[in-house]
Amino acid sequence: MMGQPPQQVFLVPLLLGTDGSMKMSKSLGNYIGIDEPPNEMYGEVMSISDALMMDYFELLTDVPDEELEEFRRELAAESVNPMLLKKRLAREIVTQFHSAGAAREAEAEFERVVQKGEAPEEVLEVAISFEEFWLEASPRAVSEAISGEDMEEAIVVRGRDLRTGKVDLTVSIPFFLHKIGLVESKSEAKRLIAQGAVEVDGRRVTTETASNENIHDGTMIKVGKRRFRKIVNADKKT
Amino acid sequence: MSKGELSFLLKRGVAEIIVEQDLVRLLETGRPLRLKQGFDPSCTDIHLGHAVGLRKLRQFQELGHQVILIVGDWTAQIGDPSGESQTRPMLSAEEVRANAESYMRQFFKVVDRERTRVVWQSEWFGKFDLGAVIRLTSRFTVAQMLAREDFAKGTPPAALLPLPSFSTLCSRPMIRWLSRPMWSLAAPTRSSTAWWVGSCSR
Repeated sequence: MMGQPPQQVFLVPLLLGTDGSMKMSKSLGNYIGIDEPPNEMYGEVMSISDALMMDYFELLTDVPDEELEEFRRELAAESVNPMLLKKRLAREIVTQFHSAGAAREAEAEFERVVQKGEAPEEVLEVAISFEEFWLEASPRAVSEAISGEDMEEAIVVRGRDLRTGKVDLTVSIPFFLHKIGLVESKSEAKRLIAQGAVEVDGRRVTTETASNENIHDGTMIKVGKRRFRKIVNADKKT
Repeated sequence: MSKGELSFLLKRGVAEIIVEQDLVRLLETGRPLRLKQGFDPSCTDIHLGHAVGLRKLRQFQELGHQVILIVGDWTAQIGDPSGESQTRPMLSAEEVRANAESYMRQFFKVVDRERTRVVWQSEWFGKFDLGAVIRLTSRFTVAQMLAREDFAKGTPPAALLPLPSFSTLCSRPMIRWLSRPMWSLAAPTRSSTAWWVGSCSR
């Protein structure tokens, strides 16, 4: 205001979002919140492109400039695996907003789940009643057939595993994933299946097998690199 | 402060300083500076993009400078009074306070609470009376207002607008003008985010 000493304006650069093309913003969905739990934060940093990595190092860590220069030289000469540097970045960031211990644990979890493809320590369980699922699906299949949609997709067959004697379901995976809320739409599921990104009990689901997969109590479903769900049959006696 | 420290502070992760020589001179006086940072409590979440600026504030604090966090509670409660913008809803005082609390909890994960003074914009604007409003409007002309984009491309034409809508649109540049000395650019511009650094008057 009038009569005050002049003020200086200090401007910092905008950080690009995880997509690497637009500024990080909540409305664009390409952001990493500083309140996110360590595992998510670590995994999301690991998902950024190699090209974006040095920007993040510069703007979000205290790693000295000389060291960053060395990283750039090594990357240009391809004498270092970019993944190793990105893990360092993810550790630095998680340490800052959580702790060094949390960063180590998040890294171990990342190595186990993403790099070795194993199931994470804690898998979210989805409890569904197989009985209700089957009962509910049948009229849907009929109505979809009447409305001219692809009825095949909604057919659920209830059966019994001859070896264990437990009830199981034979389902179309796009329908099933959509039903349990693991994907936004059936077409998203189909796209992921075509990319080879969906596994049921450790077997990759293909476009050919997708309409006819077996789900039983304890089935492990994996979508993409980090989304795991364990299916639990909520019916008491099967 | 060493050359290395100065360069880290003013070069690394900095888009622009206006005026850099003046800021260097201020830093060289050794006096504690005040850095003013504002935020709009219609949102609550801080992401890594915001953290770039907050980390800078923290670096200044580690050199003994003070941060003033300005909570834009008054403007958040007014929202967009024309009701056209969905991104600027009108919030109740309780909502604004809850948002601000959530924002500050995250803000102080990066910025040192001990070296921060929190001020509420309403402490200042809440006392604005009709006399002050008239003195403020005397700084602007009708032509200046009509030249603004809001009116230039607006339908209906300005002359047919209901008076409350007209004054609401006029109040925006006035609030911005008023806020100039104390309010940093809470909304990021295209290329960078900014805040003001003033010298400590004490």
